[in-house]
Amino acid sequence: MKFVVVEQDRPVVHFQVVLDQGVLEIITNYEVRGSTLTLREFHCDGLRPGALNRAGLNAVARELMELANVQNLIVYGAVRSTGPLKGRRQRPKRFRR
Amino acid sequence: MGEAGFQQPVQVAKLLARQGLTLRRAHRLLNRLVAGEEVSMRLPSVADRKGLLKDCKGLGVFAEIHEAPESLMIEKIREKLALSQDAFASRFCLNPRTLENWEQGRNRKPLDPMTLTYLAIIERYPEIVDEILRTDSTRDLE
Repeated sequence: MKFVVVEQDRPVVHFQVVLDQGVLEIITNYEVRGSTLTLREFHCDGLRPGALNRAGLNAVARELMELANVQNLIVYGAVRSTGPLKGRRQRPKRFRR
Repeated sequence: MGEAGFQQPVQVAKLLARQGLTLRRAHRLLNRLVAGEEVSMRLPSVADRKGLLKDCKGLGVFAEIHEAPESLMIEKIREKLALSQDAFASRFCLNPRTLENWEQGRNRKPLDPMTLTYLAIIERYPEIVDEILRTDSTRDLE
């Protein structure tokens, strides 16, 4: 797994996560406070639906927490642009190292 | 610009950023689009308009490009409506001297986009301009 920062315009960052399944592209607001990295208005695309299961997601989150040297990660997704929950904002996802 | 349910939100932000928007602004606009808002924006550097519209469509974003006409033949608009300079100026609340200067090309600077847009509306929808300019007292008599 490899992380590539494509562009940064604080507090927004566009980065890629290079995975076996393909390249996951992410654009999000980010903030590190204490030992917590918070991502807000998080958007991603690049992988086919279902390509990244919960275990894969956890692995990406763990790697990201290691890179950012934090213990916690909170992801506030943007309003969903597709799927059955389109137009709704999902509950935040929390990860712990 | 409006949203029609898109699968690739990051690509939408990248497309906007390629038109000269900062990443932060592109991200903010993307957030509004996915929230179902209709968004109007000024794009600093659009190299290929048709290509941009095609790319937007491919990403599921309905987009239109709006811009003021670059120039207009004011005399032709007036003649189409069969009006003298004075009558045209009166009907559409313009200064007759200004209108004369426009028609004879005496203006040093090109017309501003707002004036060009107003004249384009007169050309296409004179009756709508009439309706807007009619005074309340005229309406009261109806």
